[in-house]
Amino acid sequence: MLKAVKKEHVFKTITFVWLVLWVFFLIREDKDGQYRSLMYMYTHDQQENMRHVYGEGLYDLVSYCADNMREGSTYNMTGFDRFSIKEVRARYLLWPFERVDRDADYMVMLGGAKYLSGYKRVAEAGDGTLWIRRGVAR
Amino acid sequence: MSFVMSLFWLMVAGAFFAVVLAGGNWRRRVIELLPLSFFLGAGYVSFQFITIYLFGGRFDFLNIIAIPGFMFLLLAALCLWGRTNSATDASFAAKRLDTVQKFLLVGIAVQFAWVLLLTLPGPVHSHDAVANYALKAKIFNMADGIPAGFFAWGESTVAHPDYPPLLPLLMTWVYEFTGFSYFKVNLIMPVAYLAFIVLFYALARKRFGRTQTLAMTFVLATVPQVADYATILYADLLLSAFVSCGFIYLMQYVHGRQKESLFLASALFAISLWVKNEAIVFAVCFWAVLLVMFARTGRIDRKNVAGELLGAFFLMAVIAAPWLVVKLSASVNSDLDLAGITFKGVVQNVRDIPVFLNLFQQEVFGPKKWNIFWVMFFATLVWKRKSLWKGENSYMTVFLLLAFLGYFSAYMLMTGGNLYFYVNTTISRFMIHFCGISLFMMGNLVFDKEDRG
Repeated sequence: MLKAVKKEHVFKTITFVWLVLWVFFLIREDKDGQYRSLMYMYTHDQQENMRHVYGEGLYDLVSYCADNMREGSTYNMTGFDRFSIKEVRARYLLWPFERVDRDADYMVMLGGAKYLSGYKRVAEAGDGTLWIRRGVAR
Repeated sequence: MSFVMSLFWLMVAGAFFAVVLAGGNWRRRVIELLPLSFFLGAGYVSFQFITIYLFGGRFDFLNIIAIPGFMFLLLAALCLWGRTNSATDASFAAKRLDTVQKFLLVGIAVQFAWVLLLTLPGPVHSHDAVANYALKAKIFNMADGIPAGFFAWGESTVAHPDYPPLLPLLMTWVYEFTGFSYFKVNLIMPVAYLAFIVLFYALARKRFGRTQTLAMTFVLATVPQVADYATILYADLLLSAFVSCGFIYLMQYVHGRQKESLFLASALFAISLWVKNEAIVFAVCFWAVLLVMFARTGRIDRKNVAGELLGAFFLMAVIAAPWLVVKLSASVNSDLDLAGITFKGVVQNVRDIPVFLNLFQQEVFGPKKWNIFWVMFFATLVWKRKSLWKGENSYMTVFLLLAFLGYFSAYMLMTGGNLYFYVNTTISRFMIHFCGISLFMMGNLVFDKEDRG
């Protein structure tokens, strides 16, 4: 009898602690600005949501590249940290253009530079620059 | 609507296999059949896509819908002939819900609605979701198939091409109905989450009372880490669903020797090999438990049990074969680098075990990701320590202990002397894999037979 009462007390205490922590972590912002971000996404279209989530600068750069690179061409990337979130997102958005390590037709650069060996500048867009390999027709 | 159609046809295939594995006569509840169909269907579409690839075919719509369409006709015929009659299990008898049960149900519904709210407006965005799964699905969709030589492509083009492909192939399946989208495909995970908690409820309900089962399901659904992983396209929650439900079917077999439970368990563990490499550990545990059970079986039953185990082994081999053929024949850019294991690296990792323990205790006691789930679990192990090796509990203990040792050994052997980095970036995800199994074991230890209703 006493054991059953104790067990019930333990269950009630555990349930109370679980519920308090559940509600707290459910409604608390997981990241700063989470609710603002959600509100933004529920009030904008998908294109804007892509820019918002992927970062406007990166999204504009990659969209420009995707629109202006020749169909079937290859590219490489510079200025991105290897396997960083920006790099993997850019690769994802740029497919079906294939990223290659050598002799790429284009170079997608995060940031800018005055000169890039073997390439000439096409344009600046968003957070970066698109370059084309010398000798490759646009 | 097109997303719903993709789920419908996937579940038709899954339901067909559920009925086949049940010996052509489904006598369990619909609440079990529906979520199970999702998981078996996910396995089926992956199997189908890889088989098409192996035969050099393309993923056009007619190609992929033909067999599920045929399955639909067969299922309809079975229903008409009355060979699939849903059970009227006494444990599921329709009684009105009491206040506590209503509260738990509402809590689960609120958590699911929250998951949907967070998932609906955004595109696929988190790191591995993009690098490991979404990019592959985009490649398969745009190429109308898996490009020749894909599994040997370099890391610059795609991350770990030889990584188990269930999730990208599931996304590819959705794209066949919806067309390519950065957004719609995100809904797979809330659906998987819902299927997981409903199947967990349906399976646990056979053993526990309604209130206890709802309480366990509520706990599973509201573990912050579980709910968080239902909002992003990572395979960890899927793996957890496969191995947790496979484990409960396994325990059903151990308990009642129902052949269909063994085959369903075997199918789920086999499909989990298509989800993540870590599933190998659970498949080994599955067979370890079955071998222990076989060794304990009396001479009279041995022949029957041996036949059932052979059947389960054959089933697992058939399901896993196409993926293993691809993986073993094409991996050059592998996530599993056995050649990278060095004596020096292992020694360094052994020295760093305190680092592992520190990160592990942070998870166990950290309420942000786990509430008090692991505190409850380990407290239960201490409280019920005398019951751990009794009856069915011993099988659960063996399973969990071996799985833990498997993960621990992998950390020691395969992290190349860089233990902190790998444990720090993976342990909170990997602990999701153990969640459902631990919860079921906890319920089994805590709820006395008289409590179970």
